[in-house]
Amino acid sequence: MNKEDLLFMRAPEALVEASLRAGCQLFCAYPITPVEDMAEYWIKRCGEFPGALPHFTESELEGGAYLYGFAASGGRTAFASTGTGISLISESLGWIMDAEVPCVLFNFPRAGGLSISQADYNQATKAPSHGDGKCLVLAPMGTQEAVDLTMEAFYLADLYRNPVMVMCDYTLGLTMEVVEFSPMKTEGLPPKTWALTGDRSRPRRGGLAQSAPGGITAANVATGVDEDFGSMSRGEKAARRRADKYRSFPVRHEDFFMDDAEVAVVAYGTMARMILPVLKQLREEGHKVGMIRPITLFPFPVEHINEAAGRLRKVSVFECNSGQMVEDVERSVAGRAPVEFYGRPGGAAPSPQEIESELKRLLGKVEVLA
Amino acid sequence: MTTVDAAPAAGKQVFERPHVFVEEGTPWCQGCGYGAWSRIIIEEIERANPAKLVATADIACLEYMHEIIPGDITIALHGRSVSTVRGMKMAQPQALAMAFQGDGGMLNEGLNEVIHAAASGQNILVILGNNGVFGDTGGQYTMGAPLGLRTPTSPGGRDARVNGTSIPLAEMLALLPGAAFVGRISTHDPAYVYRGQRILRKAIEANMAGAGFTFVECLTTCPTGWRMTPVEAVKYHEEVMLKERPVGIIKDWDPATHLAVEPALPKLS
Repeated sequence: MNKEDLLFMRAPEALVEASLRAGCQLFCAYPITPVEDMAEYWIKRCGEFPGALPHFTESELEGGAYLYGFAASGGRTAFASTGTGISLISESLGWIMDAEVPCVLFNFPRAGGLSISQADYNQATKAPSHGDGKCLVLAPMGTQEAVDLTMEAFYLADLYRNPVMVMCDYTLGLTMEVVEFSPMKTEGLPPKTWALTGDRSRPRRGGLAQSAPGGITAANVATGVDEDFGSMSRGEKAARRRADKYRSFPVRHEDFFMDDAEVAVVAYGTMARMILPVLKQLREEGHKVGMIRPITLFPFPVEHINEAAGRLRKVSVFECNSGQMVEDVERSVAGRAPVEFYGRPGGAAPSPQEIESELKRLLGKVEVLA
Repeated sequence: MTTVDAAPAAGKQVFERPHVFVEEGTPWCQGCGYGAWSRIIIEEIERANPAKLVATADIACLEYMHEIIPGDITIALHGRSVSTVRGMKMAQPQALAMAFQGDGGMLNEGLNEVIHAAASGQNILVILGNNGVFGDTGGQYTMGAPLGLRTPTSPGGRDARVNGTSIPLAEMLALLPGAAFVGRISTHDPAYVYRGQRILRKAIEANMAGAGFTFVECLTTCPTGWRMTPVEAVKYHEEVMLKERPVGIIKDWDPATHLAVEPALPKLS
């Protein structure tokens, strides 16, 4: 291993470093804590990576448009913000998903307070924009996993021609850890023949100008420049194909002590990381408690949770919000076990003692705190 | 759309419609000014003959540019054309890049973006098709509308006290050091078309030389949105629009004082 592949870094900067190593050329980051550090790190470091542009995005709205234009013309690009910035580029995201343009989004939700906040779960997984589009959402538990998932996010974005979101949280945004960088996987990525390179020596499609990536675009769909494809319009045909694509996204999760667990917690991101040491301690004490950690929030590990629920006495969802992922867990469990919810909204986070107390209550071994 | 009879009469041909329009006519309404200035833009693109061309057009009337532009174009969200083409230009630095945006998209929804683009000095051509109304949605007034224009959202005529006054964007952008060339044209009669084509040529030549940000406002009639006949619209255009916004070069590119921001763009061999 090279010395420069092992670094002690803050998570936001590590994600920018990973983006540069993954060949990202344009990084759209607008100052909002902790994203300003990403913008600064990008500007400081991009000169060492050929093709990476020292551009500082003027506003989030423009960032959304840069994502669309830059990626449509064949470049590799990323956007970083908190949930508020995702709200601002939401309109562009709908366009990007319809036009099937690849890009990576880094999200550090902080709705409700400057702490671990998971209040933007629904925004990321249910409706990142208007329309039927979906982002593939990856939720890392620590800096190393965030770096690895960033490398993979660029790969998956290109593979599926779709935005991929790395869903962090504010606590991860303030975390500093040792991380190791591995090369990005590129096998199996097709050449971007759909890209709008502007090359005028190419033959034109159908006698018209090449009006959009892949020929099937937001433009064609949204403007009703529509042709008859049998009984189905071009718009419907394209929308159905995209829906099939969203269904084909890879699902990923991680199990902790689930082999003989009677009670299971479902949690993601920093919340799962906070639960883990308590879980280990309870296991050492002989309690049969486990945890399922979704790594992809969309698509959600529905089948895995459903299968596990058949063996469980109880499932509980731990989230730092008023109850968002719990709805996904309920539809996954589908009545096979009772589902409980432990939520800490408004920027609050549970202490290890509170987590332990809640887990023991779930196990039926109530210890009333004085 | 009108279909043009392709069979020519016998005799010497001295004039023909540009090939981009021959098959289907222009996609815009009768009397719309967009057909005239988009035609001269296509002619000037073909004269400049860039090896690469990337463009965006705002969703609405101008999205039909995708039928005629001799290069790659994508339709941007309303108000986002300028920043979308900035993204495309960053990915394809050797391309001639141009954004087509109406007054609704540029003066209302995306005003900050065109100002940022001019301030950046990036080598793109921005075209503002200004007719004072949201033509595609039925003619509501925009921030480009002259005072007194009657529209469904200013039924008594645009009133400064209620609706504000129009934004002189071209003059504002000319103040910015990043803007290399700023002009305004009209194409409502042949003399103006002739003059407008030369202004557009200068803008595109500046972009091909790598000058930086160029901007051309194309004043346009919208008989449909103005609820006028094409003849009435031209009269209103001359008496009101042109009085408020005289055509001409507002800021000419001087290579000695405004250094090119990038090398000259390659041409198609």
